[in-house]
Amino acid sequence: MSAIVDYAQPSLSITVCRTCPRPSSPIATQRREGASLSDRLARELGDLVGDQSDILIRRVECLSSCLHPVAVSLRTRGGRCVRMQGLPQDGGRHVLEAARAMLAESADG
Amino acid sequence: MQGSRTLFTDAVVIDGSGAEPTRGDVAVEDGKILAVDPAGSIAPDRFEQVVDCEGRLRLMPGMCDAHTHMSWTNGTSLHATTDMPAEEHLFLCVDNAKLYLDCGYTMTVGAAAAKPRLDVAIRNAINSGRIPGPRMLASGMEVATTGADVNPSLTADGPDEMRKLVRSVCKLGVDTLKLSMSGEQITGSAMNHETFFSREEVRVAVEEATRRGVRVCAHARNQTSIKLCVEEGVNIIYHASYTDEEALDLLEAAKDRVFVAPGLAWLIMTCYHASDWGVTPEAAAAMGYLDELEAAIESMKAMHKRGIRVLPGGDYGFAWTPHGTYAKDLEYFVDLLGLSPAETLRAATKLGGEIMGQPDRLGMVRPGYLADLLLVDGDPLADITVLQDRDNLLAIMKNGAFYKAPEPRRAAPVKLRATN
Repeated sequence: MSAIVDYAQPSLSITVCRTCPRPSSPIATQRREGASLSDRLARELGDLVGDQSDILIRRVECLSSCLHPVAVSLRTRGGRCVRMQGLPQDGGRHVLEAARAMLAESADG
Repeated sequence: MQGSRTLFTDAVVIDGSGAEPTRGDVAVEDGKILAVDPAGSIAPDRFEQVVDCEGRLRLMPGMCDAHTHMSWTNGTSLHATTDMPAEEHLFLCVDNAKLYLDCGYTMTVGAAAAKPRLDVAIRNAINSGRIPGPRMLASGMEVATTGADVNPSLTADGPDEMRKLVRSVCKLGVDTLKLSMSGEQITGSAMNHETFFSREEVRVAVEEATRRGVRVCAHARNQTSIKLCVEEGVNIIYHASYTDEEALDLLEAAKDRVFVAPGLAWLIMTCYHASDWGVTPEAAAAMGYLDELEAAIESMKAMHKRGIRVLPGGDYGFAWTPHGTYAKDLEYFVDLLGLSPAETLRAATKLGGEIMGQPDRLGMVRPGYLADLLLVDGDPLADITVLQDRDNLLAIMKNGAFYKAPEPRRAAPVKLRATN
């Protein structure tokens, strides 16, 4: 058998909060639309990024921005992290713009 | 319900022991792991389902959350945990049980419930197959002394009251009994450096619970409460933030019978991510949480070095530690405690089997173990955070049956594969 596959470390990960609002939160009933906004933003980001290997999109349950959905965090391999919140459903291009700026900055050292 | 016969072929097997992963086949039959074959030579013919792991998908044991509050409501205060009416509360627990499985957690250790029988009812419903959920040690409401309740609790003052209360709680069918040994800064009244139960009260609680096959766990943040717990036979110590050499020596001497689960998420999120609910970092620091977080990190590092079993489980179920974020604890173990990803996974799996009381049946990918398995797209040994995204869990198996089945292209009926 061949060697175990090594997963390439992406240069930047975009994490999208999946539960703005969380289903069991009292806020949920007031902002139920938020969850689908998150879904749409994640889908848009996926389409925009495509097979770009240096950007990884990940979805997690909470990014602690529950009162300001939708929330996204961007983290470079070097550990720099930026959180964006209150994004519109078509905010993917803004997120990607910020991601590219962070990548360019980290490439510059 | 036990599953059918399933064969995972060419998987990268993380067995839960902390050892290097190996490649090979894993066969599941009658709810158990039948064989782990590094040679990949198991004949597929007798299996109803074959899952092709492509030499890259990771197969690992289901994980354990060692500090579970299944009935916590993601509320904004400690006392909000019981505010929800019982009817709605039960539905919320059903949702949470499913969420634990969705996130790859097949084992949970109850660390107090919001109402007397919520944990028990949910555990029974899971075990009878009525609802999906993890294997669960059910807890009752926390037990505190009068005036020192951290969460809404039952109270007992003196050995006689304790004896009577423990007998009543055990009769409900719990697996664990939680003692509120020390305080909690956010209460503003019962503080983390205070210890409330007397030695005699703890002794009686352990004696009565043990007699009924119930294990005692404790909210114990300071040295005095930790020492009392160890000396009197408490089995699971939650938080254990503040230690000294004596406490560490006691824990080390008892490391074969004691577990520690620090609940790091509560401290970290309270310190840095609770502003939306009025707890700014400045307020958290003023309450003493930053000091406690730093102490807890040093204590856990020291415990790990001494071989004391420290498990993830982050006190999830508050507004700033919402349900579903359980795997954040794994990241904290790597980033803050300095454990390797392999050690962290061992703590979440093998040690999970041990804290569940089934060290020979749960928490490892080994022949004879119950088939609670996760098929992961991504390598948690390279990046522990892949487990935070449940989309990376391509399949979740409990007791040999798929709770989340792999996509059809990965799981082919054996006849199709045999014709290739």
